[in-house]
Amino acid sequence: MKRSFPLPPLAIVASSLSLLLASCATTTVDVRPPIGDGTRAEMALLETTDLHTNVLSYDYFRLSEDKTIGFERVATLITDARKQFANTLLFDNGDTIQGTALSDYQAQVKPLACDQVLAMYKVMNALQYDAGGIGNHEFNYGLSFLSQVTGNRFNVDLAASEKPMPAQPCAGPNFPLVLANVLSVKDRQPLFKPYVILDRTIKAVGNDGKPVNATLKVGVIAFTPPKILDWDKRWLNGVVYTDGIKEMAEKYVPEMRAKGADLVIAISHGGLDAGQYTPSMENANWHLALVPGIDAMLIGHSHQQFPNAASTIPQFNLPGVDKAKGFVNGMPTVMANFWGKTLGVIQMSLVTKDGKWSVDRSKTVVEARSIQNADKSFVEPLPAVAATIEAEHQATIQYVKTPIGSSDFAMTSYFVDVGDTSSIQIVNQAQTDYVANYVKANLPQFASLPVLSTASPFKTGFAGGADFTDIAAGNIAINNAADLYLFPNTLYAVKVTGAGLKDWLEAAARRFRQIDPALTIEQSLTSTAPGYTFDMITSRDFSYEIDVTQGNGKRIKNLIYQGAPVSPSAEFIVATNNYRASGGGNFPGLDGTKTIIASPDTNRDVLIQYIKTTKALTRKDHGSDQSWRFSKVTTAGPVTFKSAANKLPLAAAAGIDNVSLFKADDGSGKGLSVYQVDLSK
Amino acid sequence: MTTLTNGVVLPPLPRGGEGWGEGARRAQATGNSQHLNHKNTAPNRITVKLLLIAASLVWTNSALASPSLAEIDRLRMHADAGRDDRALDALLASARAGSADAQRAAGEALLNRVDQVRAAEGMRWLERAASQNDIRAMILLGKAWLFGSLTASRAPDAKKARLWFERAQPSVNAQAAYYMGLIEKGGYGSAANPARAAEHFRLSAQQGLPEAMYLLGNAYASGEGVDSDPREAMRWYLRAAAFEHPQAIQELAHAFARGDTLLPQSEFQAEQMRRAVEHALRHPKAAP
Repeated sequence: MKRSFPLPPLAIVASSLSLLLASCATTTVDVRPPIGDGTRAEMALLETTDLHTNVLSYDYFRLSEDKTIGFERVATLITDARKQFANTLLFDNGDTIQGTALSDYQAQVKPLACDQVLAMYKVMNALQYDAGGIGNHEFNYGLSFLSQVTGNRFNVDLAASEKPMPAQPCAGPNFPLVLANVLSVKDRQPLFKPYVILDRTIKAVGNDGKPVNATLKVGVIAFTPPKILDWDKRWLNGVVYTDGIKEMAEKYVPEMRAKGADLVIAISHGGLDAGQYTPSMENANWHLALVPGIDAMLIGHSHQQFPNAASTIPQFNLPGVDKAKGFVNGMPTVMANFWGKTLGVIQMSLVTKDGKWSVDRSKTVVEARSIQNADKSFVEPLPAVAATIEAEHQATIQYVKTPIGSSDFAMTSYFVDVGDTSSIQIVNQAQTDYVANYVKANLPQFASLPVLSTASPFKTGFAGGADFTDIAAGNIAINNAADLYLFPNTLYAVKVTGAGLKDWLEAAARRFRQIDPALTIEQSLTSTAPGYTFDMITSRDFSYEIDVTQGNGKRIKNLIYQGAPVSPSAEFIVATNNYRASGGGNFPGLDGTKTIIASPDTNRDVLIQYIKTTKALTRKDHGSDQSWRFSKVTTAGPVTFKSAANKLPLAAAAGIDNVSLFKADDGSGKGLSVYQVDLSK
Repeated sequence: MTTLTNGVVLPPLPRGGEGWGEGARRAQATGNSQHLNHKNTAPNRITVKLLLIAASLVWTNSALASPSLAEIDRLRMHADAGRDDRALDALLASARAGSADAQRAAGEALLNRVDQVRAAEGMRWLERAASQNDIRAMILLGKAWLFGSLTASRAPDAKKARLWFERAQPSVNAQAAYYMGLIEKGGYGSAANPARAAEHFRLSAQQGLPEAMYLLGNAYASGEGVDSDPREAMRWYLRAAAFEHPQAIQELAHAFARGDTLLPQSEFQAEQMRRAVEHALRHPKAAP
């Protein structure tokens, strides 16, 4: 049972494991030599969860090490645990194959060949997992992909947008993946094997005190949140459905016991919820713990650590939940955090009576072991992990660095408050394009409505001269898209009236202070409203003025769409993000009720796709449309704003001709200058 | 016709053979027909019982004379995402027998079927459930009217929505309070009333709804309907973020990036929050 590193070649592991699986699949009668009563064994169940393909301690967007995460460090904890305990079983809870640029690369950029194994599964094979569950994120890339990389051929009628199912089973992990509560609409059978019974030889101590080898049958069943049907609707709608977690446990656990399972482990990708049980609830494990016949629960999904005596989060402060010791309604339970920060460990003491194994729960100890040591340092990575996926890692870095297009102008936010849209327009164009295509394909009833888009600058110098968007002219790489779109928001579109749109732009104009033209002293143009609330439209079809001499709510003037004034009752579709559409920044009317598209795609990915398609961005077509202008006014004194030092040439290049240097150093010591804007021009 | 206390008039439901589900028809075909020959009258208790047994036999091969709430939810999952008409029939049989839970579940499953006729049938079942004081059915009806439906050609009607949410007792129902807050805030169907909106969001937030916590935070941040109080706003954002509310986590990211009286400036923490937003958005909570 106990393993040591280095490991035998993968092929040998694979063939022996598949033999093992074949044998347990046909097991119906328990024929084993009797074990003497009072035989004892120590068993540690090890859990990883929500790894999200963080194989290495590496951040692909920053292209730098991040020691706080990474399976390569958890792998060290795994090998340590295997040295510590006589018997261990290693399980993964799910949310495993999606979440980093590495996973995107293998799923979407250079899709994995049928005979290849995902990098994540490769390293899990190397660590010799015993079994795994399926999380909700496993469904993110679609059923065809999931089928391929797990070595399955699902019996489903795929959604029209999916690639075809592989013609024959492809390479997959060397350990069984099970899932009991997702079924195919086509044949009403579970998509994966609902459970597996593992045959293991373990090290035990006989009642005479002498070491003996004994056999142990371990049943493993797994569940995923029923809400996958909402989250991956585009792949799953009409293709699969879910069944109740408790009901499936009540159905299969007795079956596993009847087939001789000595231990039953429930891997359940979800958290805890003590509300009334319903089969469709997202976090069913508080109730699952009450199903007879289960010996331990390995949970996940919530990105939390359990046990955790200090936890204040609601789900760990429920009746029946011992957050210090790791028990849920008396059931030993562990949740191993996320991204390879933590290893879950459930130590169990097994003892035989009447020839059967049982768990002495009084001796069960549940722990969540962090990769961070008490002195804040981190455990060392297990070198074999990085070595196993070096090629995939390098390919991903290359992918992240590979130009997806080019630009003949610098995209910067230094002068965005005075009209430079070089860092905004491309975002609006990408969003408009996406929404227009979506409406055409899916919402024909709105086909006649104009599609607009708003975007705002994420970086406007709050932290100093370096806190601006600044992408030089030339090639644009994937990680530049993260600079252009700082937040991982998802694309939403709302339907608003002309009046609603005006209110929206009014709220955005709170970015500016009210300017008194008669004052001879210096007046600051911008208020304390953060730059990211300054939503703007950048479309040749649309124009408006912002009159900063007026108070809030009375500044937006001369809204023109395609040459005609915008009627308050006109209707528009406006592309934005989930944050704004759902109340972020408290924009009037934007409270979630006007959303007509809630895309699972991120604004950033939409931008990347648009740049890939457009290839060569030009100032003329992608960086010079300024829908809004300040209403012209002559001020007696200077109106000023702050931006990074020495950037005037960028304003000139963007065609901003009413800006001049007022004070080279603003005195903050943060690399900012004070600039003056002439509102009469 | 059924008239509810608030004056909402329900259309009549189909009776007799018309509109009965497949399970019931099978029951008729297998020798129970004499009990079912009551055209245009409500089924009596014996036929209801037989129907229920027949329907559930068809569906699960086990007699479920009066399905529990969990069994009804399970039937709904099979009828809805599973496109299982036998499960829908079983639900409809229970619905006809008078179970409010089954009426609501059948209504919900039918509303999600794309065609207009089935959606209208779904609305009628929800109304039947609501007439039995089923609060969740009232919420579903309120939402159906507040948002309208693109596929079922149902135009939004905020006044109808408001009636349903009011009936659902916002003082003891977090969802009803949340939607009443939205209606008061947005001025849907009547003039906006930010103070009442904030009060409703508070009612809902105190009952644990993260979406309401977030909008109450917004009210404090902007001083809309309450005295402006950025610290109180941040407290509500923190509470909502504990439920993985994506927009609330984004507020924390903004606060960490800029520094806040409760959350000191930390680019590291801001980045952690941005990543948490990414995760939360991958499996957003369903709307309340």
